[in-house]
Amino acid sequence: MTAEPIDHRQHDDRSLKTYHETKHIRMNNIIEIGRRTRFKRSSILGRRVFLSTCLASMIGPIRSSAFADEAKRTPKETAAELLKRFDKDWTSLPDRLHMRAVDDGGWKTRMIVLCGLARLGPEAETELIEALDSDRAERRVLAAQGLGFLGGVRSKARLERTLAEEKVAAARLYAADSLGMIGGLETNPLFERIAAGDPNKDVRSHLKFALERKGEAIPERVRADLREYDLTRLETAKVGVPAPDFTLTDVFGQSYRLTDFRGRKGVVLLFIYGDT
Amino acid sequence: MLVVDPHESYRVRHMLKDAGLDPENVHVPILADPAYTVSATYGAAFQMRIHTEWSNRPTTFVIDRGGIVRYARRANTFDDRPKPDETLDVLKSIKKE
Repeated sequence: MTAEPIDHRQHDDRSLKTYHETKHIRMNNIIEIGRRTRFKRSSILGRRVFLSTCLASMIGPIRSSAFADEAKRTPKETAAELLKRFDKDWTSLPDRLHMRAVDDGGWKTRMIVLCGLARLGPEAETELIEALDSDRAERRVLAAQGLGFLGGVRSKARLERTLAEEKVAAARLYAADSLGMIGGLETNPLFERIAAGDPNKDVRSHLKFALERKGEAIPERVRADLREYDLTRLETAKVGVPAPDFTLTDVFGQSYRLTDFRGRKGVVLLFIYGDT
Repeated sequence: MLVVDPHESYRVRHMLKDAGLDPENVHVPILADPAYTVSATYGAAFQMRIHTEWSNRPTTFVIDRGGIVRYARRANTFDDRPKPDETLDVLKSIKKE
């Protein structure tokens, strides 16, 4: 059983309804592979992963810079340079590519820039707050997204304004995400109004998710993961070469490390978009 | 079998409920990658706008027992995934070698 392709260009009620009605089919297809490979969660594996994670944290992260001469720039200059690089490489999406893969390589720049901004930390906050006023829509979207990973509280008031007034839905959506990620978010009449009445369904959902955190910020470990990401690892998974190792945690808090399967069993590894 | 979702665990739970599944009773590990680092390493991050949000492009890898990537398939659209049988056939053919 597979879901029929749907044209989402118009983003109308009918196509959205069909999309949501077929969501369970797509997810069940994924679960079926797991069932038929008889995969079971393993507590022994979890303990091994914990040990490996401890060892890895003792060795420390490997870094690579977004710019070769990063050390010579001030944080403000680096942030400005990262934003310029984003403007150059990230093309705004034509309608025909909605719900379709974009193959222009812009995603790498988005990752490099987010990673570079996360490394600058609070020093990049002023640049990103200013970027929320940019006349470039994609820059505003990126700034709204990046501020959540920086975690600075100075941006909260400005992000609230983006959530309330920004015309581009993606910027409002990431403003909602970031307000939640920064932490300390409590409901207020403005949020209640937006959660009930924003014209975009995803913005309404994301604001509800942000409020659901009950003020709890994104774990520091997540920020550190982005900050310490070794950019030479970008897109290194290729057929014929060893699968890049990773450790991630499932919904039960159990850790899985890919190389713990080595020598024991093959792995089907699926990346999903996780739409909510 | 491992599944990677570029959101925090509480969002993964919402996604599963949305798809009609009980998060407490899913036997496949759905791993949270909210910093997008693993998704970027595997070339899946930020390549598909799902309604409003930039998320992973659906991507399937099969890794053999020796840890070598033997199969990679990147989706062109949101529902462009190999059927379960196709993925399992790849796994079986690797096992036979």
